[in-house]
This record gives sequence, structure tokens and C-alpha cells, in this order.
Amino acid sequence: MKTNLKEINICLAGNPNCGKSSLFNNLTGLRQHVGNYPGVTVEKKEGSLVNGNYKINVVDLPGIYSLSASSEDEVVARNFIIEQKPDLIIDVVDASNFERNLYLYTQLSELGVKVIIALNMIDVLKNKGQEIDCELLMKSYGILAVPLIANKNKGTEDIVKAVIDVYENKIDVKTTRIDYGDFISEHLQKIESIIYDDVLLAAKYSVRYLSVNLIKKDKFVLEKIGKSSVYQELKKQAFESGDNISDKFSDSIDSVFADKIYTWIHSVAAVVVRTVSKSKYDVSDVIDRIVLNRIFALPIFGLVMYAIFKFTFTVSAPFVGWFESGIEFLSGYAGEIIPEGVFQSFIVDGIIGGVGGVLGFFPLILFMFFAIAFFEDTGYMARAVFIMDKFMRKFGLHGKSFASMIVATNGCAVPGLMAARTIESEKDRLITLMVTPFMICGAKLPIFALFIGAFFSAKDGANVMFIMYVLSVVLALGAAWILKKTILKGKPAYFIMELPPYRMPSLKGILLKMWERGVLYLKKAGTVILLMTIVIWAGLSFPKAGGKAVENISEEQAASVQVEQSYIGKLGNFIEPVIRPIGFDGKAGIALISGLAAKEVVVSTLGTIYSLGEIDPEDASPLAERLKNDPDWNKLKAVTFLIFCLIYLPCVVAVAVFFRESGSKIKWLVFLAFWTTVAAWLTSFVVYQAGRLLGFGG
Amino acid sequence: MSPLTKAKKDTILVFSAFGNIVESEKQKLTDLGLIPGESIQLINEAKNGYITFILKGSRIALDCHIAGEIIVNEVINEN
Repeated sequence: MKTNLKEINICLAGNPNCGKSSLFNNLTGLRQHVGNYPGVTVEKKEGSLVNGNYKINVVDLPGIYSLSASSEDEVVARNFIIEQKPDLIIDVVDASNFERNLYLYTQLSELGVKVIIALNMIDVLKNKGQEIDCELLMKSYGILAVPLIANKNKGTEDIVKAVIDVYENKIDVKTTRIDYGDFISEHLQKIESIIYDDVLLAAKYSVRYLSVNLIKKDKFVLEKIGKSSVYQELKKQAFESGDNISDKFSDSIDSVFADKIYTWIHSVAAVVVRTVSKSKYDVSDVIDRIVLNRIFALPIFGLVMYAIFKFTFTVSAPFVGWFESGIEFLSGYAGEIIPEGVFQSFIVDGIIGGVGGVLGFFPLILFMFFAIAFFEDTGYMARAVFIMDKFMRKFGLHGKSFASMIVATNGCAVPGLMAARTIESEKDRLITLMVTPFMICGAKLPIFALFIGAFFSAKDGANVMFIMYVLSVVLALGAAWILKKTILKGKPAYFIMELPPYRMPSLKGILLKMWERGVLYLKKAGTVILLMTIVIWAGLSFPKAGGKAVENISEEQAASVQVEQSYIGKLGNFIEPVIRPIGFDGKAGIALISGLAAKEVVVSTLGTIYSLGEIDPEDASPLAERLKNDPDWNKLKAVTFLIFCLIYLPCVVAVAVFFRESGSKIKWLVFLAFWTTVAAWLTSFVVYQAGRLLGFGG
Repeated sequence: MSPLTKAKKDTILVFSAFGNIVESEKQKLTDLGLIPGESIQLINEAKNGYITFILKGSRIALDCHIAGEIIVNEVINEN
């Protein structure tokens, strides 16, 4: 291990879908410390790389169009850039959309931090018949642009070299100063001279950035200068200047500045962007004419979703089988080598029976992540948000709410809840937070896979699963509609969205995403689930049943008595009257309660309960088979159980994130707990009792 | 001058001014490059409650409430 490395702190900024995360993955590989949950960059992600004598710490920020943040994720990016002051900013610019992407560059450059442009997607630009003269860009404007094709990992080494060279001042990058014209410049100078009167303020922030944004009456900047000794004077001058400029140009102050910036950008593009050949036909246009067609859009969307589930369940089936066989073998082997007693029970029934039950579904989780990451990286998921917006609005939601739901389905409710930050309207965001936990997240997936595997044929499995996914969406929409009509009334926010061009995803990018999300699942299995499994095993194994209760009965009956007389068994008996009307016994109740720690624990708890009921650990059968053979379970109860799992209170981590994202208000937390529990019980009651009346089970 | 919702497919338009829309939405559209004098090309007309158009090389999707507050001049009708 190298010591005395020089540390360089850089961040990746850029517009949404410009390839920041691809570059981040190329730079850091698996050396990432994911600060948030993968799936959507609404928080910063951190990683590092070592090159020669340098350790480069990299932060990947959420995509932004400008520094005037309007949603929570944009605030994260803006605050980091301004507050943390990295040594260098890499502005990832989509070369095929050079002018629009350069808008952010001008604002970053005005911060006074050294900025390198990572000129991504130059292959796409070439297909459009254009090229950008990077040498001329440097020579004429002092802007360092490094060509890059991030999804093919071409140009990453050049970026690293540029970072080191700029850091060591071997390359002199200039700070871009936009010429706003004499009138505006005079006003900027007036404000700047007041800022310089407060030496600390001038040293802390870029004076240029402050003056431009004070004129724009930017709330964030006004807050930052709130404690300055020149606050009143600054505010008065800035507002006066803003009004003068607005009057002079007969336009809003933002439009005036944007116009000046784009005029400069246009002049730069006119010099450095060259048309070298005739543009090829735009593939995105052709695909969009079909995919966004008024008639075909929804059926195509349905087909895509169905394909994801069919692929996941069909392809993962043999792998799940091998995993289960491996766990069975392990269970048998442990039963063979460990002497009979409490320790054997702890290892075989507790650890292997519990955690093994969850790990068995790891291949299925990976294939699901793979399929969704593929569609995300093609650009289709952005279209899905657009396609769904109209539909979602009927239920009082926003198209971006659908993105939250997809993200929740794509691994975990936690990033789904965090993805709601991109929704500007507070009420829309709250409704989204309330209904996102209804989705079948990666943690609920093992429960569904377990019960569907146990009570439905392999042929019907994918179809039943698809129906369950549709049901989760229907329930979420219905709940949103009720909320919008009652306690969260209001008009939904406008829909403005950029649709990224379609791209061929890189296998490495998809595999990395799949791995990121998969690792979270494994980490949970090794921590929360393991801990809960031990608690559940101890709760089921103690106190030891004895006396007359276990005299003259079979081993199987004794095991059953042990479960019944244990601490957890007593807890199950206590709650049974409440859940009996929805078809569940105490064992199911215990599993549901334990699922509040993490949803996978429902499976591990059932695994432990049923493992304890096994007489011979060397002959352990898969949990699905044990459930199928249990007379207390049938198809109707299984479906009811799944519906309850769909709706009831999310896991403790998701609840904590919900609390934070909903503004840390206790009333919303209490409401979530009440509403999910009552809705789960009522829906399950209707399904179970109606099913019984229709003769589907007893 | 007319709102964007009245424009026909595949026409080239020039953005003129914003009507009555919220400041944050206006800011977002400005950040996307929608400034007076900027040309935009309509991809889909406002038949489905939404409009898609090309602005500075990007495809932008808007709902018709906001599109109705974007005032444009028509320059060329390719049809």
C-alpha cells in the first residue's frame, strides 16, 4: 500500500443523463462508498482511485441543469459544489448537446473553481456529422475539454491525466467570465465592491457568483449572506440593480442573464463546433415515433414490464434451484458434523434455516436488477415516466412518482422514497412517499417468490408474479387517489422533462448496477437479517418445553409444542385473534412482525419456524415445500398473506427515510403507520373472506 | 404569435415569451435553453395532453397546461 499520496478532491457535475455515473464507475470501479442507495443519484456517491502518487477522491453528484436548484436532488448538488469547494470540478458535457450543456459550465466556472470539461458521447456527435475542436477551445477560451466515450470506457485515462496536470498547474485552465454588457457589468461591479467590504464573505464564496445571483434574488445566496455585516446594503443594491436590469431589457432577470450566457455559448459553438459530414438519421426519433405513439405507448410499456418479469423468473429458476440445493446440502452437512443439541439447532435451524432461506433468492434478485438496469440504460425508463404521467395524474400523482415506484421495485423502497425528491410539488411528493412503500421491492420479492413457488406451478409463477406487480400499482394508485381527494388536495405540478436519446447500454455498466444493488441485499442478509434470525431462533427455542406437555408424544409433536410454548409462540398466540379473520395463525403473525425489521426477515423467520419443526436436520426440505405440505396453508391464505405483505408498514429503515423525506413531521409518520396497517388488514379481510365465500379455500 | 399548443407537427417555431406560469417552471425552461428568439421544432402536437419538441438538440416533453403558456412565432411549415 502506497503512503504519502497526494489527495485530490474532485466532483462530477453535469446535466441529467450526460454520462456522469458511467464516468464515475469507470474512474472508481468497485471502489465506491455509496452514500445513498443505488438506483438513482439523488444523493452524492463517493469513490476513489489511485494513480501514481495521487489519490483522487471522486464525488458523483445528481444531474443539474443550472445552479439555481428547484428540486431537492438539485439542492444536494448545488450545496456540495458551493459549500465543499472541491479542488476541481469535472463538468461532464454531452457533446451531442454541446450548447445546452455548456450553460452549466459557465455557472460552474463563475464559482472560481478549476473546471475540466469531460466531453462525453463524441461518437454520437460524430454520427450527427459534427466534431468539436478541443485544441481551439483551449487556445481561444482557455477551456480544457477532454474527449470521452464513457459507456465504452474510452478516454477515462485522459481525464485522470488532465485532473493531475490541472491540479499541479501544468495546464492552465481559465475562469470563464461572461460578458454581460456594459449596463449589467456596471451593476455587478457595484455589488462586488460592497461584497469586498466584508473580507470574510469575499474569501468564503466566489464574488462573481454572489453578485450575479444576488441580482437574480436567489434565495440560497440571500441566505448565505444573511449574517454578513453588509447584508442590508448588499440586498438593497442587488434588488435595485435587478429591477433596473429587468426594466432596461423588458424581460425577467433570469431570462436576461440566460440570454447573455447563451449568446456567449453560441459564439463559442460557432468557433469550435464543425460540421464534417451529413447527419445520419436519428434513431431516437424513429424509436420514439413507435414507443411514444398515442395508441402503442401503453401496450408497449406493459410488454416491457411483462418481459422484465418473465426474463427474471424464467432465467433465474435453475440458479435459484442450485442455490437451494446448496443450502440444503449445507444444512444436512452441518446436521451431520455438529452434535445434536442447542448449538446444532442454532446453526441448522437458526442461521442456515433463516439466512439461507433469504439467500436462496439471491440469483432471482440479481436477474431482476439486470433486466431493469438494461431498460434504464437504454433511455426507455425516462419514456415510461412520460408515458405514465397522464395516467398517474388521474390518480393525483406525477409522472415522476412512477419513477419512484420503479426505483422501489428496482431494489428497495428506500431509494424509491429518496427519488421522490425530484418532484417539485410538496403535496405530490408526500403522496408519492405514502404510496411508494406499496411496491414490491427487492426485500419483498423473496416472500412473493417463496409463496408463489410453493402454491403455484412453475409455468404460472411468472404470470402470478406479474399480476401481483400490477396489483401493487393498482393499490398504490387507489391510495394516491384517496389521499389526493381527502387530506392532500391540490393541483399536480406541471410536467417538464428531457427525454434522453436512446443508447446501447454497456454490459459493464449494467453489471455494475446489478452488483451495487445485489451487494446491498447480501449486506442485509449478513447484518439485519442474521441478527433478527438469531433473535427469532432464541425466541422460538426458549423457554424449553418440558414436563407433561412433551411426554408420550412423537418428536414431530414435541417440536410443535416447543414452538407453541416459546416466547415467540406465546406472542403469536396473543396476536392470533386479530389476524385470524384474515386467515393467519400465530406463525404467520410472528413472521409479519419480524418483517418490520426487514421484509426478507419474513422468509427467514418462516425458515426458522419450519426448520425447528423438522425432526431430522440432515433431511431438510426447501421451505417452499414445507409450506406447501403444511395443512395450515392453502392458495387463498398464501395470496392473502402476499397482499398483506404488499400493504403493511414498510421496514424500519424505509420508515426512517420516510420520516426524513416527509419533513421529519411526526404526524405523517403516525399517519403512515395507521394507514398502512388498517389498509392491509381491511384489504386482506375482504380478499380472504370473499375467497372463502367463493369456495377458494378454508 | 400563438401558444405552443396551437402549433402543428414538424414546424419550426421561435420562442417569444412566457405567459402566466410559475417562476420555478419558468426557471427550469430557461435553464433548458428556452430563451426569446430560440428556435424549437415540434415533434408531437398537443393531441394527447402533451407536447414533445426539440430544443437545442434535446427532446423536451411538456404537459399542455404549461405548453399553453409558451408563446411562439411560426417560421417555417415543412408540410
